[in-house]
Amino acid sequence: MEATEGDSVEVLAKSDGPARKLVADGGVAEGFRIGIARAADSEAIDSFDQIDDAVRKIEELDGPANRRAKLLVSETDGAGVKLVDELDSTDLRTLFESVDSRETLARLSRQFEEGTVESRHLDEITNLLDSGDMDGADLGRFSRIIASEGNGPDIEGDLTTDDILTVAERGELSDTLLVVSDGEGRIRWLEFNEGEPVGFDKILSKHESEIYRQYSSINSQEDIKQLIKEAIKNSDSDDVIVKLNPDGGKRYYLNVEEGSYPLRVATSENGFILSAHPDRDAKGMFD
Amino acid sequence: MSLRVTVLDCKPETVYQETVYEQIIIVETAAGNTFGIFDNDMDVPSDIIGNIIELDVWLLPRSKRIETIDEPRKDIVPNEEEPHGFSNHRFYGEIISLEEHTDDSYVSEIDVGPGTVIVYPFKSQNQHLSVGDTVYLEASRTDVAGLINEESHSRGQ
Repeated sequence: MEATEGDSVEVLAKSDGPARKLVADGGVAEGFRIGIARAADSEAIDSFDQIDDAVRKIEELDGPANRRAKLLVSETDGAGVKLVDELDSTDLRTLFESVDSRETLARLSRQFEEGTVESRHLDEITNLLDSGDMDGADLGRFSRIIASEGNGPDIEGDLTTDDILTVAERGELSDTLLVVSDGEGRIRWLEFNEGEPVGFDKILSKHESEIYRQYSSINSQEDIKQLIKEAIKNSDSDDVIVKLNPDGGKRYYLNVEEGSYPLRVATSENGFILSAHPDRDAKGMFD
Repeated sequence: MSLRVTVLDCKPETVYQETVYEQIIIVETAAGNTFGIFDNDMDVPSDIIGNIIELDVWLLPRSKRIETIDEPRKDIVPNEEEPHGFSNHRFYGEIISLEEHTDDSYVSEIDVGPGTVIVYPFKSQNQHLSVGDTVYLEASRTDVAGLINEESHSRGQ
C-alpha cells in the first residue's frame, strides 16, 4: 500500500509533534516518511501520540541503529511503529544496535503486532541481547521458529514462545537444529555444536555410520535428526531415566523404542541433547 | 560369565558443563590386548583405574549375519587405527550359549578368551549358529553392559 496524500494530510492535521514535522519537512528518507504516513492509517496504532513517541525515539538513535529503525518503519508501517513505541529508549537502542537483519526486525515487529510475541517477551529479548546471551543471529532463528507456528520440520507443535525463549536463554538458538518436549513435558533442544563433545556434530562423528547400518530406512543426516526428534516426542514418562551426578545435578537418558528404531538419547538437566545412538537394551535391535 | 580385564584409563566421551555423561574405558586383557569400551551408563568408576574388573560386555555387530569359522580361535583384535575407541574391534570365540531372546532375536554368549561377551543375533539371519561353533564378528560398538565385580587389588600388586 502506498501512502496517499490523505495520509499525510491526516498526520499534519492530528499530530502536533515530531511526526507532523517529519511529514511536513520531507527532510528524511522517503521510505521512512511514507512508513510513518501509512502507520497513521494502520490498525496497529491506537493514537498519534504513539507515532510521535516512535519518531522521537528513532531520531534519538545514532548511526546504524537510526537507519535500521527507519528502514523497519518504512517496511512495516504500523507494526514497526508499534514495536518502537513499546520499547523504552534503552531497550530500543539495544535492539537496533544488536540486530542488523531487516528481515528479523520486520518479522519480530509483525509477531508483536499479531500477539505471538508479547511485551514481556520483548523485555526478555532485549535483556538477553544486552547481556550478550543472545545476538542478532539468535533472534533471527527465534523469530523464524515462532513464524513456523510449530509446523516446521524441526519444531514440535505444542511449544510456546516462552519455550523457545527458554532455549535462547540456555543455549545457542542460532545453532539449534530442533526443539521438542519429551514424555515428561521437558523442553529438549539439539545444537549442531561443531567440534564439541556433545551435540549433533558429535552424534554424527561417533554414531552416524552405526545408525545407518542398524536402521536401513535411515539414510541421511536429516533422517537422523528426525529420528531423534520423533524418539523424544513420542517418549512417555517411563522412558525417562534420571541419574544423579556425583557432583550435583542430574543426567537424563531416554530409552525409546520408536517403531523399529530403539534409540538412546542423553540430555542434560537443562534440556540440551548431548548424544544419541542405537540402544542395546531395546528389543528388536537387529530388525 | 563376563570379561575379565584391567582398567587402564577412563576417558570422558560426552561432556557438558563439566559433567561426564558417557565415557570410554581403556582396558587390557591378560593376553595384553588393549582396547576401548563404550560406557554410556557410567558404570565404571574412575577410581578403579589400575584394578582388575569383571564386566558384562555387549557387542553390536557390523553385520547382521554372524560368520562361523572352521579353526577354533579365541581372541580380541583391537581396531588398529583407533584401539582406544569403541568401534570396529574384532572378536573370535566359541558360542557357549544360544537362547531365544525375543520373537526376532537370540541372546548368545561367546567365549573370546579372557571371558565372554554378549550379542543378540537376529534370528532370520543366523539359523546356522549352534553352541560350540567358533564365530568371528566385527563390532560397530563394544559396550559396557554392567560392572560385575571389582577385585580389591590391582594386577601385579
